[in-house]
Amino acid sequence: MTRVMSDEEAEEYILAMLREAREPLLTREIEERMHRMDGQCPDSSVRFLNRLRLQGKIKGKLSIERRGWIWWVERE
Amino acid sequence: MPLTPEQVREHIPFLEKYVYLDNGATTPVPLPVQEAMSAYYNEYLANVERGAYSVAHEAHERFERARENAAKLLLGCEPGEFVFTRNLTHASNIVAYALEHPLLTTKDGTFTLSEPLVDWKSGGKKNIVGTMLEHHSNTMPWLRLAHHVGAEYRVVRPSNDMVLSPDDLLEAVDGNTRFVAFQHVSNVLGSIHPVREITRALKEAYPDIMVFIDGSQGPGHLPVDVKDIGCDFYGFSGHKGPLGPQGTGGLYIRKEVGERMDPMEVGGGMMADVTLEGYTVRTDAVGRRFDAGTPNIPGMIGLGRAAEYVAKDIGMDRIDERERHLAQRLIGRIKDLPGVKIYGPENPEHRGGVVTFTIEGWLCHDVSNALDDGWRILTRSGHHCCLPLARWLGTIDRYGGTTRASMGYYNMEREVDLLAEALESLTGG
Ligand SMILES: Cc1ncc(COP(=O)(O)O)c(C=O)c1O
Repeated sequence: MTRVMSDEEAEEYILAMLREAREPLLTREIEERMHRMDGQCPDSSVRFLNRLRLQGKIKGKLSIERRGWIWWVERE
Repeated sequence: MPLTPEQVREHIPFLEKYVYLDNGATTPVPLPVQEAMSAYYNEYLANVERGAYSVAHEAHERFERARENAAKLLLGCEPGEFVFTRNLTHASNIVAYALEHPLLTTKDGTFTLSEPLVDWKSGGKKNIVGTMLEHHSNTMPWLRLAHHVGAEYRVVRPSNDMVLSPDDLLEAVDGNTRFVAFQHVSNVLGSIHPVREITRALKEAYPDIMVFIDGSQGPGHLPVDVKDIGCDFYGFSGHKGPLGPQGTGGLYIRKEVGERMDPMEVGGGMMADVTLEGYTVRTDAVGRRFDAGTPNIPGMIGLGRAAEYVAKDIGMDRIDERERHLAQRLIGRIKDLPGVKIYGPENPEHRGGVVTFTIEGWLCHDVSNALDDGWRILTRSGHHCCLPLARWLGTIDRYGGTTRASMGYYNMEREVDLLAEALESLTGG
């Protein structure tokens, strides 16, 4: 059974993951990485990611070519 | 004249902003229902069954009229057989509790346990039968019950077109089956099951089997007559098809069964007498035995008005016909799009207003998010609280579940067409 992370833990983990990534990540890729460390977003991943997007903490948009939503953080 | 979809839309301002296709989760509350609720707050606010003053009398009268409307118009039963609940989940839990706990009440001056509703102990190992299609709220209470009473939990899979048949159920039951729970309409597949034929076949083969029907997606979408179905229990959500307020629902309990049920909650309102040695539960009306504490009075008054709205102001047959039509229109437009797979009955006669699909290569949540972001179309994605079913369909690992469009009477053909066009853009179809 995977563990449901707390809001703060999931946010920190996702921000770090997106900062390190060389290109925007698909929802599926984020989910897979979280599963690899036995974690799960407190909400469904898209809902959680969307919440971070609406709070302005990450960027996200639909990519028809990549068949899903892609997520990234702006570099300073 | 019955209200047209356009007229109903005028009662639901929310629909101007969004294409709301998540009616399977919860439905908007039309203005006339909201007005009935605010009349309670503004004109006759009082507790029910408590005060002797005139307004309390009016509140009580209106509350009971709401019960009568909900009972008769949504389920075809008497108000005395109708329990107000918070939702369907509350209804199934009330039943599960009573199947485990014999009625405790004072008899001949002594606090006494009555005969249990079901004898789980004597004879061979007993079993409870459910199906693969059920919502968690129609699975978990029975799994827990089976665990506590030492019964086996058996699962039926539909053998044809994702619709349960009497034979599917008959194959699973035997002389040790005590309880069977199945749905009326699937919130995932849209399947409308022949609940009358199934119930009658079960009762004919084994008259002692008790039958619970999960009608969460039933009343308000289609006509329901629990007497004709012949079940012992029929639960529903007031906040879905009936267009009642959130936090409302109901449960029909066959009178002879209800009289023997122990209420899950005890306290004010549901007792006939209380001493420091014990209490006697009400016997005057089964429904009221389950109203412990102050009920959700405005919610129930809203549900009563909502029952009139769907059954009289619109008409259940019209709703049923329109939701099916919208679903078939959508299916017709999207079924051949590249990578789109639709789940549920192929025979339109067996499908209500629910269309659930996946797109190859896409996570279902990404699809739903794209529809909202790009087109303001609101759909639900995921396992729809039916994890065993999603695993059985194989949708969880591949797509994270499914995306679902569920129709209401007030949805328009143009909205369904917009969804089809949006899916065309996503799939390049
Ligand atoms: C078939 C079915 N059963 C049970 C439920 C649970 O209903 P409620 O949320 O009213 O408890 C739902 C809700 O989606 C449902 O669709």
